[in-house]
Amino acid sequence: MTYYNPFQNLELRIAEAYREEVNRFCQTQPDALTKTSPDDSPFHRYVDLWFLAVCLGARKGKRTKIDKPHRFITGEILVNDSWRIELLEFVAISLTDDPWIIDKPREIMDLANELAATGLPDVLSMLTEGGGKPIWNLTDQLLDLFPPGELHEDRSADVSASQPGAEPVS
Amino acid sequence: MSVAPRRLINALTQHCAEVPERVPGYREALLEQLAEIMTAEREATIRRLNIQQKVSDCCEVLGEYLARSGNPSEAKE
Amino acid sequence: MKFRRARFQNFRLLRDLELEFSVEEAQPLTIIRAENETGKTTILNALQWALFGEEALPDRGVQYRLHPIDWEDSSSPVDVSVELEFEHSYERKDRGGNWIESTEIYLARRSATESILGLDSWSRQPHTFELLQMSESGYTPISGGELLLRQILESNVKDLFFTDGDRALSFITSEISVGEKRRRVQKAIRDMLGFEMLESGITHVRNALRDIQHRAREFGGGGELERLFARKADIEGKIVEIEKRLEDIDDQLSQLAVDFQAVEQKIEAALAKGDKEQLIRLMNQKREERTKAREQLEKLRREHSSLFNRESLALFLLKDQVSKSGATLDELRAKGRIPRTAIPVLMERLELGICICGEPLEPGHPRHAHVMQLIQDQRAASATDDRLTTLRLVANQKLPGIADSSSGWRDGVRAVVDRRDELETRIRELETELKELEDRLEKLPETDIAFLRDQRRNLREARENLSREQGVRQSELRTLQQQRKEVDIDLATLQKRQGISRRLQSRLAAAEDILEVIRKSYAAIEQAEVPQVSKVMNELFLEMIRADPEQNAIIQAAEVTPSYDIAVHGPQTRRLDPDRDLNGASRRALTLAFILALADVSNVKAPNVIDTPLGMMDPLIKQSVLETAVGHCSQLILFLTRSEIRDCEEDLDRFAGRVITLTNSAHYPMMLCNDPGGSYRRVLRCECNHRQYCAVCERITDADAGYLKKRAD
Repeated sequence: MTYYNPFQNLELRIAEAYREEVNRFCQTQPDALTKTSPDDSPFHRYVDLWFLAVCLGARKGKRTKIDKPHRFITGEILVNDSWRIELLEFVAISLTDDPWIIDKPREIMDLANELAATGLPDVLSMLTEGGGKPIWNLTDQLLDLFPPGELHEDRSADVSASQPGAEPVS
Repeated sequence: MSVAPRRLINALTQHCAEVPERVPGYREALLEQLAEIMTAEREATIRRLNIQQKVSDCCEVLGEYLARSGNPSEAKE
Repeated sequence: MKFRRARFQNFRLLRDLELEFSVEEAQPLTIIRAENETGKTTILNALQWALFGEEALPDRGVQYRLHPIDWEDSSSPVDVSVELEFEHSYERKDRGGNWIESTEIYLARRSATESILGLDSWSRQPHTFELLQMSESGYTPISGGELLLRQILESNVKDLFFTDGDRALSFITSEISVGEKRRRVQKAIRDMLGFEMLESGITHVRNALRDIQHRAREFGGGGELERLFARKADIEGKIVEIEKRLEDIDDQLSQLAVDFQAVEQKIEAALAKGDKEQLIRLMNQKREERTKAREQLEKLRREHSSLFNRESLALFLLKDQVSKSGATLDELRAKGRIPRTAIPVLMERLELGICICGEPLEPGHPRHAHVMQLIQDQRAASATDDRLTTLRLVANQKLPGIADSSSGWRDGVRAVVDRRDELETRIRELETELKELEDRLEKLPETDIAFLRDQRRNLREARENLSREQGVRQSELRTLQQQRKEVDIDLATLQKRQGISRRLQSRLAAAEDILEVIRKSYAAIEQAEVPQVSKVMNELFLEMIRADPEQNAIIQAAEVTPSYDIAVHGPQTRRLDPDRDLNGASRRALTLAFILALADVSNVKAPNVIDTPLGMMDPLIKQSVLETAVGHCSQLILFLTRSEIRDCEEDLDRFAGRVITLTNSAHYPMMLCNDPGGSYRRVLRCECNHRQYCAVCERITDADAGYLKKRAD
């Protein structure tokens, strides 16, 4: 059975300047012989951190060009979590207002990489701020994004793609 | 000086009274020989003495008394 | 007996020394104030030598030098002598049969000459002894003085009446076996109360009886009689053997009891600190639990980290984007842009060969080609449309559930966090517990509890074996005693029948009566006297240490048990070990109380000469001991140091009829203030009492001691 993955051969990128930091917070470091503790490196793989950065960047609705990009993996990795493929398409549709952008996976990937570039500093900040281990800092910061009380989704609300949708990162 | 003589004499007297009066005056004679034996024993702690002979002699004396005075097997209480 | 005065010449450090002793009834105490190394022990030895000869000296005098060690003229022999003037009271019956007391005064003089042969060798001539009796015309020598002196003295009282504090402790020390302690106590009691005489009497009478029996056998001639006598002798022999063995068993059982208790206490102490095996087991359990908890924690960490990869988190973060996309796709749907549904219809029409408008659609017809082209165009756009359709469906499915899945994510996080906290707390607790256990293990003495338990088991087995043997022997003894009775009956009958000479019969009967009376008297005296000694010892001891049992004192009572143990009891009659559970002062008081009790019960009136009895005692105890001792001694002579005297001055004022101070000339200049002069060491005497010092005896610390005053010369 073939899985739908338009991003198969496309590159997932981060800025070279962040590579070491990103490395530190991922458990399966390509150049390391052993795994680190999840408490110090909360993300299992690079793609997990990258995707969270995409989400935070998408909430802001802002694209950031990558000065010196580092390709860490191809989009083949996304087939393991196909819901990420769907979400990338939703993000692309919502930010470009063009449903047929799904025919241009390269553009979607460029968008995703630039959203990740926007969100990555926020992710790193969430990991380091708080005084505790990175996993605890990140957990607290993410929980803070949730409003107190029950979550309610109103689909009929008109959400403009140009408005930053992200909650302020504390 | 040890008080043994007085206490001892009292004890000997008391237990002599429990011995059957085999012949008249037997108890008195018995007490007398007991006193002789104790005196000899005391002497023996101080100077050399053939104490065994002395004690045997006392037994003989009492035995003689008994023999001379009557049938020793018919004791009088 | 009371000492009146003593004179020492050339007896070691006692070059030329005279001492007077108090003989007053009201003040029977003589204090000889002397610091350590001032000849106190030498005086004790000298007095004992004067009374008892060489046997009373250390090593029976063989290696004991009598002359001063720094005797100047080694070419001439040294004359050593000790004179002791004493009074002796004795009771006698007057004509009326009443007991009256008389007192005589004697002077005992013992002399010896020693020649110095070399640096460490010397020889001694046999000593000479004189005993003189005081009369109106002065002292008159008595022939056979040594014999008379022995009559006056109980030869064994030297061990009880000349006491140094440490030697007396041998009655209660744990350094010797239980059996040996009992023998010493028993000997002291028997010596004082004259039991030895009775025991000796029993042995001699038995021998006499055996002799008579032997003669009776020979005389009787009858084989049966001889056989019965032989049998009786045999039975008596066995009885003596068994009684001896039972006594041994008794001693061994007592020792086993002591050993058993010691091992039990060791086990108890070790278990209180912790059973090593148990501790190690517990530690292993904790370690295992910690390992499991750590494994669980590790799993939870991974689960925690996987939370950041959850779709539910991403959906929450991107809910606006999903929502907006969903709306866009709904619009497309509304406009009919998706899904494209024409293809199936067109295909059907081609199959039917008729268009929707009703016109034929046969192959080759332009309408057919047009419809085919339409189908092709549709197919090209379909993949994208399909995807958009799919996306729309996904959006419709997921958007309603975003709230639930997001709160699910949050709840999931909270659950993981809570469980992690629990585990981390538990791991910390386990680590603390392990640390405590490790500390406890480290502090455990190297006590092998298993070994101690083995020991205990062995002791128990030994005890059981001995008890079993004891039972068997006791039963054997009863049997033998019964057999002896039966033999006696048979003998009596046979003798009567065979008409054995009345004389021999009489002698037998007489000897047996004598033996019986002595035996019973001995048993009665022992039964009466030992408890009496115990009672008096208890009273004196409690008085000395000021223990009031009714006021919950720790020491409730002391006793001499029927088996001749000196026992001390605490609350609830718990037995205390005198050597371990009593302090030094109480131990000394206990042995002193025992000695005084013996003298009291036996009514032996002899001087008690005691060297440093008040060591290790606080002021109140010192005062009690003094008062008690003075109240129960006919004459008490104490050698005391300044520190022993301290805080007892008033008691000494009351009880001391004589106080003399002795000083060792060799203590100058380290301890004495003033140079005593002279080229040789000697003991000096001055008339200072316990509150004074003078030019002769002043020590470096005396002037600063506020309780001593300088005596005017």
